[in-house]
Amino acid sequence: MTPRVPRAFAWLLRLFPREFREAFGADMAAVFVDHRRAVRARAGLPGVVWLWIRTVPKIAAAAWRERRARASSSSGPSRATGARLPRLLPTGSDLAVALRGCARRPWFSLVTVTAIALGIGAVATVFSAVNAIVLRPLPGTTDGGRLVGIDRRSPDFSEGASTSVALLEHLRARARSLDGMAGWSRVTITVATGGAGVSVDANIVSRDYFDVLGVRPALGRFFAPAEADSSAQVIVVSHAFWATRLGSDPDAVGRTMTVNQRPYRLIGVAPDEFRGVFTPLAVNAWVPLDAQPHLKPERDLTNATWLWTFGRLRAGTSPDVARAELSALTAAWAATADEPAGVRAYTAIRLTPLTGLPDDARRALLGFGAVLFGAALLVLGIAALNVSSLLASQAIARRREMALRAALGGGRWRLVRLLLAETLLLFTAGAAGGLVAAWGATSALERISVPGDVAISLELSPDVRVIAFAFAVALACGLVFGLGPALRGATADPGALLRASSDRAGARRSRLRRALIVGQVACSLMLLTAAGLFARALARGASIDPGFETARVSVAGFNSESWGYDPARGQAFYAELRRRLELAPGVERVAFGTPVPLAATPSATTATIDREGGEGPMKFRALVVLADDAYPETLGLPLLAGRPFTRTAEGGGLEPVLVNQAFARRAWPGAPAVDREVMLGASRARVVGVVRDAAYTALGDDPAPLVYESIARHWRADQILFTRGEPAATAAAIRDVVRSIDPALPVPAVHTLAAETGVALLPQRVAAMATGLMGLIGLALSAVGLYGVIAFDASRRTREIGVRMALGARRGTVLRLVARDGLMLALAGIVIGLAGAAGVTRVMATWLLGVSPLDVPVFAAAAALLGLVALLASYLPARRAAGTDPLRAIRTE
Amino acid sequence: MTPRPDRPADPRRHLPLKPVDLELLLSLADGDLHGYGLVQAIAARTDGLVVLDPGNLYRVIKRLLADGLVDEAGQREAPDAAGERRRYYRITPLGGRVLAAELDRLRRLVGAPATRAVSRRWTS
Repeated sequence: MTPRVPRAFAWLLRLFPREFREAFGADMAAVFVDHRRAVRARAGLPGVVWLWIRTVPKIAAAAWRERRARASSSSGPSRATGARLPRLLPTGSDLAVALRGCARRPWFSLVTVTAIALGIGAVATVFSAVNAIVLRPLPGTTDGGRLVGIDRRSPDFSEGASTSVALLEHLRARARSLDGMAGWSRVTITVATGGAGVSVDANIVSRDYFDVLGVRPALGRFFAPAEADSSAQVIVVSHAFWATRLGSDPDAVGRTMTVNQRPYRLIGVAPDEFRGVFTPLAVNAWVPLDAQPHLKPERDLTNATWLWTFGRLRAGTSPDVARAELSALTAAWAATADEPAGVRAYTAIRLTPLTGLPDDARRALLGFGAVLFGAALLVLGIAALNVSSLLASQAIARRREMALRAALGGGRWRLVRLLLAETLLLFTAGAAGGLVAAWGATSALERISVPGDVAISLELSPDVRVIAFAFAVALACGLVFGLGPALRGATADPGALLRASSDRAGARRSRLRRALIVGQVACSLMLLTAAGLFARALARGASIDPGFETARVSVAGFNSESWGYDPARGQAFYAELRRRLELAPGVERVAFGTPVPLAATPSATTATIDREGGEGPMKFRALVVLADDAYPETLGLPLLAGRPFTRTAEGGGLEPVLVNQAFARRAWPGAPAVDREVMLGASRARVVGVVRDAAYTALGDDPAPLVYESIARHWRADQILFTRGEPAATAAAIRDVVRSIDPALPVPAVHTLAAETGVALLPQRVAAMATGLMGLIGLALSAVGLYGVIAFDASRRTREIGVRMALGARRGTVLRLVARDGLMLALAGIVIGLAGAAGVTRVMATWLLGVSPLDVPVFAAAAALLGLVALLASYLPARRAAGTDPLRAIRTE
Repeated sequence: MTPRPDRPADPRRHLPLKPVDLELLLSLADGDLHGYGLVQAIAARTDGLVVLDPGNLYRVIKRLLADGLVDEAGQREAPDAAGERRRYYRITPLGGRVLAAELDRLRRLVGAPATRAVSRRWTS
């Protein structure tokens, strides 16, 4: 029987030449296995870990010697094994000496640790945010890695559809690859606990929702398959709601609350860390699907498609297997079920990790995160290069110390280990500092305010994964950037070094340090360019005309359903709201519609245009916006042809619609659009007017085809009120009118359209801020680095400068001599950086709102700023050099 | 300098032995051993000063095999390796003679008057 070889050991054996491995590999593995068995029996797991730590470098060294011996075996018998095995890992005493060494050079240590902390901090902050939003499993769940979002998609995955209750039950009953499957939707409800009601963002969920997620209640319980007491509906609230609205009352569970005017019994409180399935949108209550007839009457519990779904993969089942099974089940369902025609084509299933964001948003954020991560890596690169050059200059300054240690019997490996220990110590301290910085930065990010009436809750702080990542990056940097200087510092020949004066040696090292400076300047320039481009995009975004009035239009969202109004009462409410507002002083125009442009994405439909001649019908995607008769005027959208909607639903004939210019151009190029017929989805409509293009989805994009449907015909309970007038006066008027209609209603939040559309520029704002900050850090680091190199060189040339001045060189000459050096380095860095920036800014194009990734003013400004800083960083040491007293300089050794 | 096959090779060609070679040959002089057995024997004799890792152990074995000082002794079940089969090694007659010559050399070294003086002066 042969022993099972640990895979890591087998991998390690590959370091040996093949013949050696073939002859002795199995025996070496057997020895290791035997040794491990003995150590385990004697010292347990720690012993085994220690055995690994000791064995790996020894094996690596033996393999290296074997290869070297083989390479030189032609020249004689192999006698190369005599060298002692080097120990690569620093010991405790190495660390103690290193700690003393660092403490002896407090300034050097402080600067180094700060630089590393800045670099690690940048990387850890971005990684932490990306991790929190798109990578880590949902907080508060159990075994979250097995949770998957289940999206119903078209066969080519390009479009998605929601799921109906009937399909959810169909899949849940049959899927063998899942341990559970739940569905949910959003609903806004009005909750009263005694006094006036408050508007609460809630989720309406299948009863197994919490079970599938594996969330445990902080208080009480979650939904049972069937409630024992059916006299009242039940509700679960968030920890935040319990803390703020219920005063953290431990006896709150069991109490009755009024939800949309009916009694609901509070049965449980969710744990603090659980924030729902789409984490950025705050959720403060959960109600079971059976509450649908009361809370969401326009949906149903059969075939209406209104749910998001997710499931828990059965242990050991791959997502591919589950996807195939669910797709087959969905296709079979679509073929037989009594579904609306529009969704029958959605026969495929896509599984995505359930990480707190809808998949499309997740992908977009991942791309955005990658760009910011790239910027953070540049900061880390600058910091590491900076530290590397600091360490190199330390190595030069400490050559005598090292030579002395070597002369006193410190072996070469001992010295390498000592230097390595110091480096690792500095980098570990830097990582700790970086994590503190990341903590601060992420909590600042969490507080970024987002206008609009959707409450956002972000939790971005670093978790264990981020901490591990930060230390791993720091140690890797320490090895990569610290090993070089350590090896060079320890290889010096003691005799030569002790004899040499500090003056002559190290020209080669200085060249390396110069290369490091050039690298830093180049990285800084790339960062500054990115920051400049984002800032310019932000400025351009603010000045882009969205096509509608934003400053004098106020927006307020209503949802009559969430107050328990039936559609008739809801319609009456909206009519009364309009009537009273039109009479209110300061309010010039009143309109209803949905959604808010640029703040929420409109729904879409397929437009089909019949064409004359032999051509088949033309199909394209069109956005759908609901509007009323006063909408174009209120938002300042000029009607270019035809007429607006009428106030009431126009009976008889085809449905009237308005289209934008892009739609008209696409459908009937060069011909009038008014009075044309068009198929929208499955229903026929007639174009009654053409409206000027406006930005609905993103600023700066070419306008997409868009159709306005009449909200009078497609009445819905949630509507957006648009009013034109002086914002403060209008907001007050809206609040007064709502209170006068029904004092029990929650007071609506009123924002200007300008504030709401500000969301559209959030990526640019965050990116400009982040890259700007990182650019400044990079600039400061490379300025310090440049200053350090120039000052160091100048001080080594003190004697030469003294001689020159004694021979009659003037102050200006010396200034030029020293400063030119720094400027040449900066120039080289700037040239390389410009080329690098030109190569990579392309990836930012999506977020630049039409600003060219090669925008000349931005590149020029970044280069000029860096040049200026470099000039200053070189001038200061040059001035000091020029102030040298020739006599004293010549006398110094 | 190639040793002639009809005459036994001169053990002095292999002297002085490296310390680790000496330890290994000494361990095999007591009886055949497999790899980990050698590691244990050497560790025990040196009070844990020399604990060979597999890589260097087999580099030494490879060299001693090439020099003809040790030989493979086939695979056997090893009682101290949970009864699994292990490759054993034994010392060759040449290895034995080299070991004896080395020990003789060391004995003379230790017995020399100069060595004894050093020993007296520095041992407390």
